[in-house]
Amino acid sequence: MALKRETKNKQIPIVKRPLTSWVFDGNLKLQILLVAIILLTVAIRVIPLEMQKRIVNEAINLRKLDLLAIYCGIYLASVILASSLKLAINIIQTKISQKVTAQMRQQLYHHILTMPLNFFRNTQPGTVVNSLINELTIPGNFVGMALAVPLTNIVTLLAFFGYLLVLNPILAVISFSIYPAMLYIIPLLQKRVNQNNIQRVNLSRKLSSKIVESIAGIHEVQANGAFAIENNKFDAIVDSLMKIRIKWSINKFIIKVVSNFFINLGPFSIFIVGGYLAIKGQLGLGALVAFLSAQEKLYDPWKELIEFYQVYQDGKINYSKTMNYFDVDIANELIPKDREPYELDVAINVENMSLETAEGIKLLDNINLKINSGEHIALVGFSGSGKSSLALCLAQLYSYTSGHATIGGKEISDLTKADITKNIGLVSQSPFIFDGTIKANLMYSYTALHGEECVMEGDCAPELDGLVHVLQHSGLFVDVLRFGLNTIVEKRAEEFIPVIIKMRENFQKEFGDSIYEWVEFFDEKQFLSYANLADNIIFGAPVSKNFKNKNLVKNKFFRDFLDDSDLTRPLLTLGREIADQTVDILKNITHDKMFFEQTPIELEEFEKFENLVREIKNRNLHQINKEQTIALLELALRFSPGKHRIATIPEFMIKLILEGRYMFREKIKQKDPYAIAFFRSDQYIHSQTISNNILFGIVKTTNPIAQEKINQFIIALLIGEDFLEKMIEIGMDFEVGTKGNNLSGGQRQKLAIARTFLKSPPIMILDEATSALDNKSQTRIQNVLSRQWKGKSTLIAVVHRLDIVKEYDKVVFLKAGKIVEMGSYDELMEKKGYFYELAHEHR
Amino acid sequence: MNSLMNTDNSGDKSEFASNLNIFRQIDFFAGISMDVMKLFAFLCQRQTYKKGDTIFYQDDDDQCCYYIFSGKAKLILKADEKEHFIRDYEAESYLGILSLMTSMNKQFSLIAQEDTTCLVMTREAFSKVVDQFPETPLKIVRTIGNRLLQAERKCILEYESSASDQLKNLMGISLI
Repeated sequence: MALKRETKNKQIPIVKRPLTSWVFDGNLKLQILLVAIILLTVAIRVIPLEMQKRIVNEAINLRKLDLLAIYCGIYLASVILASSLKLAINIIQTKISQKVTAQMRQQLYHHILTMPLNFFRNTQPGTVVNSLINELTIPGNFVGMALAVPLTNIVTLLAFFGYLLVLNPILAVISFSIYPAMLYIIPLLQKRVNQNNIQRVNLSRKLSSKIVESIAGIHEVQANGAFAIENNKFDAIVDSLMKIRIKWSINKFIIKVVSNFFINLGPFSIFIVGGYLAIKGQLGLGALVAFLSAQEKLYDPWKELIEFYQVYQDGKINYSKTMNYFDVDIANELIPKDREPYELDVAINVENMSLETAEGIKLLDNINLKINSGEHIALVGFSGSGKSSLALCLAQLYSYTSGHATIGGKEISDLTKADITKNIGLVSQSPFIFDGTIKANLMYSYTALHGEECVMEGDCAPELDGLVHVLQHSGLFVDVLRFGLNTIVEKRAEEFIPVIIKMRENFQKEFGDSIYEWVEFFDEKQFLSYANLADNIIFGAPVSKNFKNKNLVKNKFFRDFLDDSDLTRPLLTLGREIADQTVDILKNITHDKMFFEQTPIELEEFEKFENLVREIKNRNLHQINKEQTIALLELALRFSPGKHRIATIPEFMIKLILEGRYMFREKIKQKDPYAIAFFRSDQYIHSQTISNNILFGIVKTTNPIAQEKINQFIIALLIGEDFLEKMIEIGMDFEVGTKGNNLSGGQRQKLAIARTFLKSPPIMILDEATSALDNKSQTRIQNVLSRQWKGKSTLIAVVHRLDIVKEYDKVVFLKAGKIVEMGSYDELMEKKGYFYELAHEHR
Repeated sequence: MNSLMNTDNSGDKSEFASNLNIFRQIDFFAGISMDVMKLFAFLCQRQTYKKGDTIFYQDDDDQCCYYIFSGKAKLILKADEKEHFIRDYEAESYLGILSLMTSMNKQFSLIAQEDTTCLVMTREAFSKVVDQFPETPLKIVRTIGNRLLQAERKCILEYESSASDQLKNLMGISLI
């Protein structure tokens, strides 16, 4: 809602603005400055001519050195000035062009975000990307030229025309007589260019869509090995685009050639007529030569005008094609014009509402529904019954096609987006999670409602308590806690090191025995299955950066140590096995983080290892080069046998590693005693997660029951040290990844619910919002809804699990777009109708 | 204990390799390409349960499928506030394939009778693999169809011998 700009054009939607409206809009001062500079430049260009004359006539003829110096000085100064002004003109033009292009992009993007959902179902993202990125460049360039170029060149042309008239009126009229012909012919030729350009824009769109389609459907392409099919489709479009671009360019050149031809006809006509007059003695030879040289000066301004004309035509087409494409009526204004957004009484009334597709299919058919303020309504039915459509109509995401639906007596279709977002919070079935932290996503709806500035500056930022509260209610609390505990805090750890150490002591005192079997403690005599091999060897946190994991293998001291302890060869063998296996399993699939949980190879490195495996395929380990050796050793050192089930290490290697651990310690003490902070129960380990620091060991079970118990122990410890909130704060900084890929489906849903809880809207619409959650989590959320929100917020929930339906005030059963049953749970069960049947099926 | 497990205990084989061995012998996955099988073996997890631990709960959609790798577990139905023992499951049994494909509550509870290790696959992992290999579910559906047919036949046989009218209510499942 931050569409603040200063001029009146902003009230007209961008898609309805003519291209020319951008010329002065917001650029008036720059444009005037530009014209002034141009006029000055034209004037200054006369000075060298004048000086030329004076140097010859006065300085040289009169043999005056001082005059020669002065005139040459003026000549030089005017040339320097003219060049500087030319630079200034270019800078200003670029500035205007870029500013306007940026504004067009921003405003068009702002407009696109508000377009009806329907539009996006039929539009490939590629088209939008292409429009925003490519198609607005030429229109922007045009705006930069729009005033200055025609003005200068027409003025120049007129000035020369006047000058030629004075020289010889007859010849002047003859030499200018070609221009009307050109003014007729060139637009004719331009028509063809325009057609080519329209085709080009269409094809570019098609190409962008094709690219997006193949990327979106890459699973299908690779699964079917349909590379040839997709390549053919793509290549065909590229070929057509190439052909049309060639035609477009050729036709543009034809205009240039024609234009040049006519210009060159100028001297020709002068030769014929002027030559005749000269032979007849009616025109002096000198006058003819002067006329010819003056006429040559017409060439540049005309050429620039033609170029400008072409930019204008191309720009006009790109602009109007783009704007027309997005010129779809936006059903609802963003912000109310002359009032604050409503705070509605949230009773909802639906009368005879229908939603019909363009093909005439009735998704909703004559719906009548009354929902009191604070009431909780469950929408139930088979898939395709219209329950989601009804919910989305009430959220204004779908526009109902007939009938009425009101909130607090106001027709939903008449409300602005701001009215809706102020009063409604929606959680969809597959909520979108944005790249960033948990916290940023949690605050997304809240921030959108209150405004970024207000939240950032702290005036209306939610309290930590409030965040913790919604995390608990949505059930995300434990997940966030786990993210916090699994964080490796390298910097800023100092402030809480004493607390963690204290927790470690308490943990060993209070819980040590009871969870012994689930935790692998840092015991220097034991091999740690759940730590990687590097940690197992070093058995400490690197202080010197030469011993940090990524530098370890490149460190000569460490490599020598591996050789001495006989570990190099087994590690290489292991690294190779891991790389071979991982590449074999994960080849030919689109990569997802989940696939990389059981291998030390990371998603980003897959390609590198794929190549490596290919390169060393038929080679022995002693034949591989230095780089390959480093890559394999590094990989093996990242391997944790307990975590990465893809390979296993033999017993003898475990013995070598344990022996190596001692040997390493001995050697490093002599070489660099401060390089490593060895694991000690009274010290914080900077290379390990907070959780491992508290436990002084690593959790070795994935059993949910055991993990739950460990969580409880840790929560008890955190509460004891008053550190729970701090841990949640750390956990909220967890990066969720693109589309929330680092979260599970359930965590994404919980996050979406939490962000709506935080917004705390008067009306909540949940569209199968808990479908990916386990029963316990669903029940928890339902309890929160029933206890905390009943009477406070009106709730409309599309429900797929019938056991929670009891909690709702009213159950609405939909079938084929119609409400077929409505009443309380008990009423409907008694009625023994559709709902009863569905409820029985679900048992 | 069968030979398969003995090879696993030898220690020089990774968990992945032994999982793969198991998957190859599960009839539900018959006909599925090796690439898919490898991904399944790669993504499933081993869980251990102590005697008395509940592996899954009745009326809960735990979104998981289980293969009992070692140990023994009993299937329990809670009804009329009583626990009814249904049957025991021993090593090499698997339960819950349908949970991989759609959200559904487990209709029974499974409780470890002795220390038990299961191979567990989640619906999320399964769908990520299926996303890459869309033809996979179809092959699994064939086996499901066969299972339904077998159950129906069993029911019909029972009916033929007992002519109990109550069985009629159960009949027709193969016609879904």
